[in-house]
Amino acid sequence: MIKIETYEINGHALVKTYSDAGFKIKQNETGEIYDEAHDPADSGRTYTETDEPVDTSEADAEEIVDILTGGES
Amino acid sequence: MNNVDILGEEATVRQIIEDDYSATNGYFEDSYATSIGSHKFYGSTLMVAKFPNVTTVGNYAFGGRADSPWMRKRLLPKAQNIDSSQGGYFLYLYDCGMSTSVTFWNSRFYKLCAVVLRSSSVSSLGSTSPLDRVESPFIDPNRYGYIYVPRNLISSYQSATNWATLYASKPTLFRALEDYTVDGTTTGELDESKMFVPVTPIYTLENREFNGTSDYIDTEIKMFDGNHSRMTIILDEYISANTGSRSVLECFNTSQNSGFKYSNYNLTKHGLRWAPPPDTTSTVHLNEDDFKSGYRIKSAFIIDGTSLYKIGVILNFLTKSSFKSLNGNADFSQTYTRTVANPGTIQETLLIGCGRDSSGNPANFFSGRINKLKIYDTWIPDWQLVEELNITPEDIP
Repeated sequence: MIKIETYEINGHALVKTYSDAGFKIKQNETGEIYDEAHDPADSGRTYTETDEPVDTSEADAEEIVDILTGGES
Repeated sequence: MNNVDILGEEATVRQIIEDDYSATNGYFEDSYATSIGSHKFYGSTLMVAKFPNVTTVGNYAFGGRADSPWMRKRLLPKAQNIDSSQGGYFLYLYDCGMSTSVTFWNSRFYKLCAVVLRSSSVSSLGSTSPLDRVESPFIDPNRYGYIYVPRNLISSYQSATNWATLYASKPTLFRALEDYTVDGTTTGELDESKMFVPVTPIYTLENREFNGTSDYIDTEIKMFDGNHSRMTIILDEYISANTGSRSVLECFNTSQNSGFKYSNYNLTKHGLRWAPPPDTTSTVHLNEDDFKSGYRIKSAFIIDGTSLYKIGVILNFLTKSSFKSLNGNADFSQTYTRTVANPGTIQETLLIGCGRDSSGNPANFFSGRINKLKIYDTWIPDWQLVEELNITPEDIP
């Protein structure tokens, strides 16, 4: 499910959009894919949840190599 | 121009890189290549990689965060598709060329502070991480961290998805690329003399031997008198046979319960202690298992002394494994950081090559050589820290 949170930095009103199930999201207006999206509150951008998980597999693989090799990779 | 795969079947990665490294000190430029395949520079010793005509960069072409840890500059001015798996401990300049979308893996960039995006349309940013991590130069208005983009796109970047939240934290985040190229265009060669203007140290020492019995230097710098908001210390040392506790750098008070001490002990431990009041007990010993006589060590200390004291070792490594273990969590000053309230009470000065005894006299003399010591009255930019430490493959056995 798409989740939306509003917040403010230095007077800038912003909106954070993300999938609470850990999927990437697609910006409906452009088709761009994001892990999560931070937009100005008045941007009007909308998002749809994809079925593609936010990808951590490659980082995890590298961590495993480090562990197996004692960090000598 | 030939469409050449960088490292084809006729050559191995190691052959080309080692030949190049011995001749050019890690600088590698190939104007013929138009693509770099998967893992081509994985584990390489390159420090600067320049590919003026490459458009496509494959999976792990430059490795992850530690696979090519020496790389400082990656220049791909015509790149259109760069796989997001690339990383680099010391990478500080990343010319992503004409890429229309970029993503930076969270755990793979510790010193990145200059990103160049030349596309004539806004490059989408897949995730704000790690550009928005704690104390990131891309959100701290007081640190060097910039995104170089075409001038006519700056306002678009400021409101673009994900870039907008970084801009909200740092109004100066975007710089007009045309102001930092040699020919004033968005496609021109980067003018690094404009991009990277170094901070001048307040104290410098080079190639000084310390005899272990009487040699020392009083810098007359009061690190903890409350007048230094941020400091950086770059240290390149070579340690001779020491016994007992020997102070390389020390700014402790005479009662030995408050201040900063960087020392070695019986050639088995390298001690870092900092204890502004009321904390008097924090001591960290570094690299106990790896510390050996005759090792050259490079370190950087970051001090924040405005209202809270933080001292973090960014780098201190003797072997590749210890280097990695220290940096695995070294998101700037987090690994070796202690924050203590009520600063500003220590009036003793920073000594080089010794500490002070309970009477305030020089003691615990260091035996060895300081190749370089630089003290700055600020946090120096990450790019300058990388260049000053000058980490090379030879530094790690």
